[in-house]
Amino acid sequence: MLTSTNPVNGAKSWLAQARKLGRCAGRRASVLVGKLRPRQAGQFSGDPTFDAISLLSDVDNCQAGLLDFGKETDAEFTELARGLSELSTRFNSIREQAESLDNLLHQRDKENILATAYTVYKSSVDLVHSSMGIAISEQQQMGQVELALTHACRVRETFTRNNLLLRIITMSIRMEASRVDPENQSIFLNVAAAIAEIDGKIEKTTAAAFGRIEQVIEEARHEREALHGLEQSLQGRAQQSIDKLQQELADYKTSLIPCAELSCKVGELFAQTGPITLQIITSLQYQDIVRQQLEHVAAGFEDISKHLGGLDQSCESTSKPELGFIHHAACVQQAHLASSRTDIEKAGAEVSKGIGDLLAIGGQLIENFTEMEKAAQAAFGRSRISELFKHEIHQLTLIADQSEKANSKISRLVERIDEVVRVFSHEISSHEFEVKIVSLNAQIAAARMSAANALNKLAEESSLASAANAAATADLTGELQSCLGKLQGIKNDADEFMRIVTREKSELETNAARVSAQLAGLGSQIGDRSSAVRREFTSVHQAQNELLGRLRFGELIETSYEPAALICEKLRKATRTFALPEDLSKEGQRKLAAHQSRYTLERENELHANALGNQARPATGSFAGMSAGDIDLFDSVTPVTLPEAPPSAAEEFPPQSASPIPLPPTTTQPPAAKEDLGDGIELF
Amino acid sequence: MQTNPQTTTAPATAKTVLVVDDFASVRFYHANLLRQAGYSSLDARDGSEAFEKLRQQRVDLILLDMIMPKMSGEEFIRRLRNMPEFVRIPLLVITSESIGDKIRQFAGEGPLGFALKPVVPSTLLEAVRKLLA
Repeated sequence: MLTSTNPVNGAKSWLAQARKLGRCAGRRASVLVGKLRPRQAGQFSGDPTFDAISLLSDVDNCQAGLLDFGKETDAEFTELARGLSELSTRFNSIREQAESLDNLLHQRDKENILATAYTVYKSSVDLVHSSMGIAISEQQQMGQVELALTHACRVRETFTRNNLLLRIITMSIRMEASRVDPENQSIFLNVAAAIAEIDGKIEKTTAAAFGRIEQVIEEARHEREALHGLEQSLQGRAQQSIDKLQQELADYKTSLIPCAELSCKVGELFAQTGPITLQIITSLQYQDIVRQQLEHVAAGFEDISKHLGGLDQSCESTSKPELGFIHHAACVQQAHLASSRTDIEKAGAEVSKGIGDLLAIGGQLIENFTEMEKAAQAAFGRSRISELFKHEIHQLTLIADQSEKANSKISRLVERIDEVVRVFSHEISSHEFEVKIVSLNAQIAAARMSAANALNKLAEESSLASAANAAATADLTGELQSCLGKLQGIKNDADEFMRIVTREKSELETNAARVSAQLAGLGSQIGDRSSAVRREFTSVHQAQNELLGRLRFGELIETSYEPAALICEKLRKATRTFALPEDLSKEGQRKLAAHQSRYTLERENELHANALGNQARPATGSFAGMSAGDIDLFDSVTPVTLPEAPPSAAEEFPPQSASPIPLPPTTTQPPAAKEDLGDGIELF
Repeated sequence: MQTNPQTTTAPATAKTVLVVDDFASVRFYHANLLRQAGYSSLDARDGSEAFEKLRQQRVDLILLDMIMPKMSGEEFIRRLRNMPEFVRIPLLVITSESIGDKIRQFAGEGPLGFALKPVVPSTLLEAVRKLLA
């Protein structure tokens, strides 16, 4: 309807309407001509509307392809994540096994086998030390007792002299008897006979007693020498056993040195797995980001598709703005496709390379671990260590047995000396008493006789001899008692020592048996556990290699991105005459701005990076610290800052800040909680 | 196990030796030998018990084992030599292996002697006599 109140304005309005109608008619004609003109595939007819509409079905196909790409790569990346998790679990097993070996090497193992073995060795040395020391000490004390007994035997001369004296007195009394009256002779002869009889008893008793003492001395000397010989022999053997054990333990340590070196290498390799695993986890997360990007691109394609579908509905009011929107929207999608392709290619390459690197490290780990295990088995599995340990410790405990033997000898000596003391203190004392009685009776008889001075004198002499014997007996008894006391002291000490050493010997033998069994079992234990770990790792290694071999995401990129990018390019070229900003209606600008703001992902990336940074842990692993095994793929957050989003690849669509398209202000969104990494972004 | 106190008695003027060893039979042997030689002796099962004894009674010499539970011989020596009141107490270290050079590195300047187990009584007493001279 062409109506106007102002003629000038009315003319302008009419002119504009005419131009519009003309242009529309021209376009229609072009479409018609284009449709009629035969064209090669990919060539444009020259009518932007027609050319754009002709791409409609391709746009729809690409939209579906992009959504499929997200699903299919998701499946592959999930499988990779599972594989990585499995790999980490196996690394963990190797690490635990290697740590267990390392602990054994550095005596940090639970049972502390090597340290216990050394303690048992040390205890055996202590046992030898104390047993031999006590034995030598006892021998020395026994020697002193022997000396004392020998010294005591010198009293025997006194007894001999007194016996001789009594014999002379007896003879003198008999001689005197011949001089006295016949009726008194019998008194003299009776006294002489009584003294002679007692003298005989004394002589017999002292001979027996001193004979026993000499026998005891001889026996003690003999036993002491035998003990000394035994002690010397045992000392020699003990020293040999100690040397053997010491050498064996030293060899043990030496044979474990290669294990320790390999353990360090294993530790270094584990340290390398940490950062690689973290990088893989980070890269794996990009699949999810890219999937969302592609969903948004697909949404953009849907918009384009709708616009293309509506192009021929009304050319009166929408043809120019719609084509302008399609041009700019195609540019936006093209830029985002290029950006996300860079992301997914980089992520895919990093994941593949990372897992490949982990597998390579795993191979080296297994190699080093196997060597370590062999060295440990060789060290622990030496057939003689366990048996030798048990045998030598047993030999050493025999040293303690000599204390028992020495103790029994001392006990016997104590009994013998006690018997000698009893003889002297009872029998000789009784004989002395008899001599005194006889002497007294003789003196009484002499007092009754007129000429018995001689008898009186002789009776006095015999009484003196008896007193001398009594004194000698007292001395001897005293000395013997002293020896007995010493021997009793030695025996008490020996008993006390025996009590201690028997318990220690028993503990030592029990510990030696336990350590020997542990040492004997170590080799096979290590072998069994390591074989299982190696078998499991080999299986995972193979599975991961196969997974890497069948990865298709490279192919998926080609089949999804290429057609989509090509369609964008075609749409852009087909509508290049509508590239100016004024070709966009306000509605078109609004829609396009929504497309752009939807695709930036800056906020998500920022939140993602912050979340990772907040929970970051040191990236370098170590054998004692963190390693791949510490990383729980599905629970923890990795300490890696994401790479910045790649720059837009759009050649005709400058970055947002420089965009000629007026964009509505971005709605300020409330800060997300720390765990919220943005819609659809999730950490493993 | 403590050795029998009766075995540790000696004349009042006798020098007192503290025997520190975790092995009861070794403590018994050393105490017994020292008593026979006229010394008075105390004993302790480890380093911490030894310090208790040192605080209770004057000690002229310490006979020390190196490998003991709770407080090792090395730790005992380090602490002992850092205490001014005990820094000059002579130490006779009786070990199962030759580690004299290692011990010298941390034993400070106090009188120090070594004996390698098993050590015979005469050698042990000679070492004690020299350190107490």
